[in-house]
Amino acid sequence: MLRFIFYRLLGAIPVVGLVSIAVFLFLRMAGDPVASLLGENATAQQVAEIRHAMGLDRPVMMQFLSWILHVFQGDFGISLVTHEPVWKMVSERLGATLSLSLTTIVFSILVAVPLGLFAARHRKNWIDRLIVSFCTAGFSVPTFVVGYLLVWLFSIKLQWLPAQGYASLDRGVGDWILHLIAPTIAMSSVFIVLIARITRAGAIEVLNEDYIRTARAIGASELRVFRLFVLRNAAVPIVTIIGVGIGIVLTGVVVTETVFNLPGVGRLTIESVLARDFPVIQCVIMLFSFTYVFINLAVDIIYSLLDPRIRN
Amino acid sequence: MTEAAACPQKPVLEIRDLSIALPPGSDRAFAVEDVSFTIHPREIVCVVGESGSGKSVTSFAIMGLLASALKPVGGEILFSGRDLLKVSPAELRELRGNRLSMIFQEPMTALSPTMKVGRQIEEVLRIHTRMSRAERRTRTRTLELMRLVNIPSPDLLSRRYPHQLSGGQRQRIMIAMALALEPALLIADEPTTALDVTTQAQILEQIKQIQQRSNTAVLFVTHDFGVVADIADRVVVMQHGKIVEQGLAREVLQSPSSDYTRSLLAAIPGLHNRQSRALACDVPEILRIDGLSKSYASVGHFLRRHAPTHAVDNVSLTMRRGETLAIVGESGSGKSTVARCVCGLIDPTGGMIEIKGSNRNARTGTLDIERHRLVQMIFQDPNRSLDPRWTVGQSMIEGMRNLGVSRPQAIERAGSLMEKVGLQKSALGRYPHEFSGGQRQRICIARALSMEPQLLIADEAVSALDVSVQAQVLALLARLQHEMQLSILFITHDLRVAVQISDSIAVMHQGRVVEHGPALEIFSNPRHDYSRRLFNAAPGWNWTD
Amino acid sequence: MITVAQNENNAAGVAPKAWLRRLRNNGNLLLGAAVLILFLIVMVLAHLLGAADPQAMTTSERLHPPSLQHWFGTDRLGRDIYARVAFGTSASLAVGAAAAALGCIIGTIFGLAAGYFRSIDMLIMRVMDGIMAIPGIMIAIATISVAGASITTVVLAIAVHDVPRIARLVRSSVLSMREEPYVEAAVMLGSPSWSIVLRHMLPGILASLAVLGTYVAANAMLLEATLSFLGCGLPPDIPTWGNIMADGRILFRIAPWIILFPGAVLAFAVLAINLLGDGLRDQFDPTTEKTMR
Repeated sequence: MLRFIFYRLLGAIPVVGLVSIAVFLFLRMAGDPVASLLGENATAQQVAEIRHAMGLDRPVMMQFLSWILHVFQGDFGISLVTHEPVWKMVSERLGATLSLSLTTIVFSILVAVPLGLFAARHRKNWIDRLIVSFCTAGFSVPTFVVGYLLVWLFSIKLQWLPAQGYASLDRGVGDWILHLIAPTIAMSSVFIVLIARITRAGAIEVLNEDYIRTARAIGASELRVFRLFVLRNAAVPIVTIIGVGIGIVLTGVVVTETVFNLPGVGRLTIESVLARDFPVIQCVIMLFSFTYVFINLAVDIIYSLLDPRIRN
Repeated sequence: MTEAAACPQKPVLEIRDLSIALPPGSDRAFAVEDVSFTIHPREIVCVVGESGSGKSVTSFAIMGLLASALKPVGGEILFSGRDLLKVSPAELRELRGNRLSMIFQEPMTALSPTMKVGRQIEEVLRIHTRMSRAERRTRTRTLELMRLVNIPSPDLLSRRYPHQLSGGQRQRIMIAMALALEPALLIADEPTTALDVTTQAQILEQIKQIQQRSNTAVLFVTHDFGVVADIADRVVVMQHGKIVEQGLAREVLQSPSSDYTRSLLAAIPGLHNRQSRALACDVPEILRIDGLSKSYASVGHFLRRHAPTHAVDNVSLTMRRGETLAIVGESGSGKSTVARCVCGLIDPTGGMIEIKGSNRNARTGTLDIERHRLVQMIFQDPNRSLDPRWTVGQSMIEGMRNLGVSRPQAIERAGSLMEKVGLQKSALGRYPHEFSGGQRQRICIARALSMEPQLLIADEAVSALDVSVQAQVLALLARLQHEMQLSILFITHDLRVAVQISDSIAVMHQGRVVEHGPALEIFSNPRHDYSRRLFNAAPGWNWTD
Repeated sequence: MITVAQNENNAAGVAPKAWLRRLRNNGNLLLGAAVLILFLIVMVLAHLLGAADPQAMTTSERLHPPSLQHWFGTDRLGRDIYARVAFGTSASLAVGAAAAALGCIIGTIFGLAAGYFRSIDMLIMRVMDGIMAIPGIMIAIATISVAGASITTVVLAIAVHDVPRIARLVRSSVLSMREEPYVEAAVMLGSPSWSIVLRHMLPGILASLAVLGTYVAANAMLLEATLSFLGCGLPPDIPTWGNIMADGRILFRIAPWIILFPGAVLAFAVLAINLLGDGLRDQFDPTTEKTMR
């Protein structure tokens, strides 16, 4: 088991490396950071000094190595706009983003898995068709439209929920939850649909397996069949899609935080893009990609626990 | 009345006029029509028939496990006085696994892959009995059951997952589950079809033993008359959903009353070797395999290397022109690997393969094309050996076009080949799914012949076919061999087929050839230990002679 | 010879019959296609008739709610939103279709190469993993922020994100098809590699590729709208659906229709494409016929 984890970690290294190189090259392509840092009135000598200070006159390979070393120490450089350390700006915004992502993931799984199993149980009748239609529809509505619809309905028309903004946990759990309800639902819309579809498909596939027939042949009740045989064997595709779907959650973060005015990493991304603040964009891409890679690593490890066949 | 007099005991199961409808639009109205038979305690009844005869549907109907599209529309299934078609789902669940139990064909897929096998046996006990905490901990009954079905070191193996056990062991686990609560009726649906012959013999023996020890009645569904001969007390023969004949096993096998049974029995390859053509010694060799080895490096990594597995280990064989050599062996014996090496589909790791033949018709010069011209292969699964998106004609001319034959000429030749294998020219315009398995296998033979090969390799080419179709395809091969002076390398696990068609035979075991020689000699007097075991395990081996 | 030709025609007459029968019962496909055709008609009409000028500003009619005169209301410059949406159809659909086509072509080439030529498989698939690891919106945002916003960069940025998914699908199909006896039979018949890949394998993949392609197109439209909405997409002077909605962001409390109506139209279009994809899947997938039996 430990060996399995070790090799999965080893396998993640090339991906992390590739992403790092891509992100580094991205910054190089984005133009000369010195020019944007100093503005248009800088003298050639000033530029040269700063270039030397920043190590930009060294070979690209050396620059990459020193950059990656700094990155792993948490040093992503300095914002071109606020002149603050990038990591400080990003870490200040992590709270809102983490809260929103976690509530979304938990909420989505709690809704989607039972929904998918329920549809599979009622395959080919109207309940199944209803859930499948709901899923197709859910895939088609963009997150921000769902978000605005929720704002319009619950904040403007019904006035049940605060319109926008974020209340951090230290202002009380109630307030925190209240501000997260609408964004969580908006962001979950796609994720729920995704997980529910895969759960349904996985469960239907498992239901056609011979061992389900065996379970019925030994007299197991439907509930027992689903709990002990269907869910356990359909777990691998479900967990996999949750891992892959993290990409959707991360995308959703950018959109949802903008719609609901949450001070998170996602909105920081948009602000930085509009201000062309490349070091911040770079840091956010690294952060998101590494999150994706490591969550999928965790997923691999989880499903080796779920399915004994994968371990060998 | 006479029946009651003959069998004083009350039947365990009585099926009366059972009819099960197929969904509208099927090729016939009923999956099973007016089926009636009984099973008494301590009796093994075999239901036998070809695919589509309704034998499995009948057994599933008893368990209440029919697919939702199949609806029982008439008759009754009486099990200790209760009609199983009328009991509530809850009552049926109470009976299943408890009084009525079933084992299935595919031991590979019938157990849940994510649950330890001991736990799966225990599941039966948990569902139907109240297990005490102590019993759950000690698992006395689970281990006892595993010992009962002869599983070595039950304590260890009970903690394994299904994929860590062999097919035979998994089927034993299934039997342990089925027998856990000593059912009145055990239904076995082709339980040994997916297993190797030696394993099959052990499992059949197991079922017989247990059935004799307890009072259990057995309903055994099979397509194999050899199995019937080995274990059945009584036989029910089915065709197209109807019973054509039933009676005591001995009587049905010796003097069948219906034409259908007679034709089925006649189609079974007998143990008589065919013509036993004496091949003159001066006939040139067509194939010489010398010290052939194929090993696979196991999946390891740079820190730890596993020893490579030898699929084929130092195999040497020769074949003369016009000869049929059968390589027999169980799965994993390496017989298919040899065939694929000869074809050039995989590269051997050692040894030499020499294929001799004239190249007078060769038009293109590459060595590969040359080899393909000389050797052609017929695959096991007729459903997958033709491109489903191509018409038969397109598939037929593919090889000839590669040889540079013009399209009209190729089509012309494809047409005559179709007639040669007993199909019409018009088949060329149709798609593979419009043909039956046997017809598709004929097309594959015709396609192979289009390359004018010297050596034809048939890799389990008739294994997926029903016996009567099997007989026709074998006859076709024999005729073509005669007409075209073909040499045939026949790979099979089925000894009956091997006996019938081969001039010489090679027995393979664990990657090696353990015995090789004239078919008659080897079958009548196997010298090697393994060959003897293999032959004795073949179902009904001693029956037709 | 003649009999063969005749029967080829017969075969061509038999198979499409079942195909047509399945098509008639394929509600998803028909509905999706119908809605899409409707969109195309609206698009053509908008350009031909110019029902209302999408750029015409009527200062007296700023921020009017939906009415009979302005079906979807007006924006802060008094422009008719329905007219803008109708005109925006072409840009939105085009971006979706172009990104999907580009992604499918590149992905198929990579997938075929990785699946058939084992030596480069490792390299290609690691690069694909790397691309997969960066959320699609991030790739798009980064590309656009570096290369500037134009139709070309937006299409490229969206397509890049879809390449790995398609490459993986194609690769795994190729890998499983390599084991198929009919492919081995083709090898035995002396067919060269290119012929096996293009004539046996590619046709086998086309069906699933078409299905995935429609989903990719739907996704691309959503992504384009999202990017434009966030202000990182196509230049604001192109009236795509996303750009129209971006205009309504700050005014949402006063004029929610600026976002909600184009949003609904977008959702309908994407839904239609998704239905088309589901329909194509049912049409191609032989298992639907199997379950009918």
